Amino acid sequence: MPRQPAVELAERIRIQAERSGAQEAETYLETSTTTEARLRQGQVELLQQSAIQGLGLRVFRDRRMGFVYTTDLRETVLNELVNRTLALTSQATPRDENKIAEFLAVSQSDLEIRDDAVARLRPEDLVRFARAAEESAFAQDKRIQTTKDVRSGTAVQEVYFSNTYIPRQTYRATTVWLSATPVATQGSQRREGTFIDRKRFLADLARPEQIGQRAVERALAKLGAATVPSARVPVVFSAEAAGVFLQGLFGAFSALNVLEQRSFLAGKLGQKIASQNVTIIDDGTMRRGLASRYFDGEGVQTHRTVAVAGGILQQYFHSGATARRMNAPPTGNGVRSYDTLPAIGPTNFYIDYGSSTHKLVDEVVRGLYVTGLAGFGVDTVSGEYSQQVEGQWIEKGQLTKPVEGVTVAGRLDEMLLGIDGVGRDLDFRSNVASPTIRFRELAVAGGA
Amino acid sequence: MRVVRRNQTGYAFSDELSYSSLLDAARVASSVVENQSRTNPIDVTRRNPPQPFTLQNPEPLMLEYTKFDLLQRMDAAARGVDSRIVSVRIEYLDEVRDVLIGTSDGIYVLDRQYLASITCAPAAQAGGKRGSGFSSMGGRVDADYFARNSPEEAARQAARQAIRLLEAGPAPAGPMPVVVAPGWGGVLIHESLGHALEGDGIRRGTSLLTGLVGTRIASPLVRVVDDGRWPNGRGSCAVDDEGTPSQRTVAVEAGVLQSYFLDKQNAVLLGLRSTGNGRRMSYRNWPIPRMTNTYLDAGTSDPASLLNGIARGFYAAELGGGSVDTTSGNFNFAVREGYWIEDGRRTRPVRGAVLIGNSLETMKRIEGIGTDLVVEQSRGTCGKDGQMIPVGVGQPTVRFSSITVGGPSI
Repeated sequence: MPRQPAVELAERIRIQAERSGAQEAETYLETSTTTEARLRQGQVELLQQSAIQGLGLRVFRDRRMGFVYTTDLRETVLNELVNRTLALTSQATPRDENKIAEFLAVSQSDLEIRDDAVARLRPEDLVRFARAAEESAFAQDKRIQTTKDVRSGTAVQEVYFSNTYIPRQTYRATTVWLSATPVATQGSQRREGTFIDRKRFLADLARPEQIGQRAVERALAKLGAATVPSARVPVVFSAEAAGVFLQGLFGAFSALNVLEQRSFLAGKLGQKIASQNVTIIDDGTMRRGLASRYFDGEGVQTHRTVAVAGGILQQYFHSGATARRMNAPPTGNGVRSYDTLPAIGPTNFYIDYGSSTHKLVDEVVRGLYVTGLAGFGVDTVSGEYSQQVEGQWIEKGQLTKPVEGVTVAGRLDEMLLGIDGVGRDLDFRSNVASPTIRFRELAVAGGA
Repeated sequence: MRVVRRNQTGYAFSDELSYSSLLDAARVASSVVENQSRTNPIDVTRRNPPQPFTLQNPEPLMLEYTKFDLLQRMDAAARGVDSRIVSVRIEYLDEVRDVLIGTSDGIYVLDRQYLASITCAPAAQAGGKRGSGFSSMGGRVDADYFARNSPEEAARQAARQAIRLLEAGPAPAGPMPVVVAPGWGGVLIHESLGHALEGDGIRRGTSLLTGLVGTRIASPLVRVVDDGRWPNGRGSCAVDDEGTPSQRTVAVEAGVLQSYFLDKQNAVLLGLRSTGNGRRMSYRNWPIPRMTNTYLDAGTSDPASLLNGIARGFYAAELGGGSVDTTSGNFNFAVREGYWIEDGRRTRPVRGAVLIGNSLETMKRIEGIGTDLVVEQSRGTCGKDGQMIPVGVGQPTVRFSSITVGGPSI
């Protein structure tokens, strides 16, 4: 879709909603083009291209909200959309927070979220990246005979935003990714390993050979894995595992969950909730950040929000509505697509790098090094934590044998307070990331 | 627009239904088979697929004001259970989906699919402890479903579950006998066995069940069925998303593997026929082999007797979500409501448990199956490859000789 008409369309529909009776209105128009190639055993198994466009309209009347979205942008459809959205407000319950979020001027600095080199990549380029990654995987070790697949893709996203107070805002962003999932075979045992890199700029993406190699290391490391007896021991989460752990924690920092007593962090502002070496940040303004953007789904300027500083809980994350309810400054965490209402979500969410320059496993006499987490056992309401993990057993600072068939469990509040080491290996291959972290002691449940 | 040549797939779509956009999509999709043999035009006639069950009056399911009234009644019912219920989240969803599928092998079908659900999640708080409950209603149902069933009772049930968590102690850790309650507990079969039976992993040889048809993979008590025509099931449809009529597939009989779950492409590559399991989230996604309504079939044991003889074990009254690695067979799922089993009786409630295991080992440890089969039709959303689709799962009461419980109490 051409750029100019889209931004005009967003503004025109918003004005039409206001003229039809909305006291405030907001349009969020999004277009995105995604291309992905999947390769396996040297053959292209899938080449897909998707071109998405859609518009979401929110209207407010007497503190009642209506929301409708469409992917059909024809004139007649959009006229009907405006009427339908307004009609919905008459059914809705009035609430004080139903109002367009207060707008803060968009910062002028360039966030570097758009790389024309990514936008210019053609399917054959993606196939070439994937092929190089897969060939590198096969070249590493003769126990790699097959791959689940190797994927390479790009996305180009454009957002056109308009509300009663901001006539026009737009941004354009690019993402490029490459992943490999080789399968290692030894006897009758098969284990897969995945390594993925994802970046805004093509020049920042790891080389395909590196991706193939890292993925193979992961698959091979799992061969021969077995359970270990249950024990309470120090547990080190690799940077990637710690990132997954942090992702699961986000809900506890959501102001909406706090307001509804659905967070174990409710009522803890200003209190020590983690050990002193833990600082947790959400930064929508990080240069080249995978979730950086100039404004959130409600037109609010993105921020760098320090949620936890030196273990002290400083702030929750807000949408416009929760900021109003809690009389707090908005944090630009109203995350959405055209087909959803803004909901509190992470931008670039991370545990800041710490002071441990050496490997955190070195000091562990007997414990578990966790490289992968799986499952749904993270309850940010009750604060209970238990997940299936895989990794390596640690004896006297050395990784000694691969481990699977175990869980690690604890209470989230005690776990955060018990983090006794934070590494310096923070690396953003996802919008949620962490350096390696070490828990003083967790319950490892395994075989008899 | 999907173009397939053996194991190669080109896929593209357009949100805009103009001829030129669709032609663009066709061009992109066919680029993967460029310079290859052509398919000749064929004549197609539209068929009306036989419906698995009849809905009398699903449309419109409900008017807006009726929905609001329903949500308010549920909210009041949940809060009325106990003053420690501090918030309630209720979500209502209904959808009507029209699907038109045309293929170069002559399929041309139009199908209308209805789906409705309500989920209720109350949160309880007291003395610094918090807990949340959950219940759901719905399925592919008629408009009077919410009048015939009590939404208030569903809300109260979820509230009682949240309150029980306030009184629950920490979960045990380590391997022990486990009994899983009927219904939603079938998510265990879905994760531990179902995903590994899907045809893509079989065709690629990455699934641990590759090549095991005819082999004993589970306890002889086990029959596993995937039924795309289960009445009102979330995973039920007249045809799958490739136009293949849905069917009942017995995947495991007396513990012996009988059939995989197949879409057309993987079926052809394996020299087999589609089992009507080619499903997709929407026109924006390509079909991949998925489950419909998958259940462990009823056995012969009296459900109450299945706790007999367990000195110390774990009872999973309700499970949460789960996941599996189909290459290794390692799976996990969360327990929403769990209890100790002591001396053959269900005793104290526990919180924060997960169950983990390996598919093949765990399926062999099934030592008792109840007569009380329930297929859950109101919840179940399965994610694979970024595609979320509605599924049904089910089972009777099931007893395992040993599963590793992952709790904090060591």
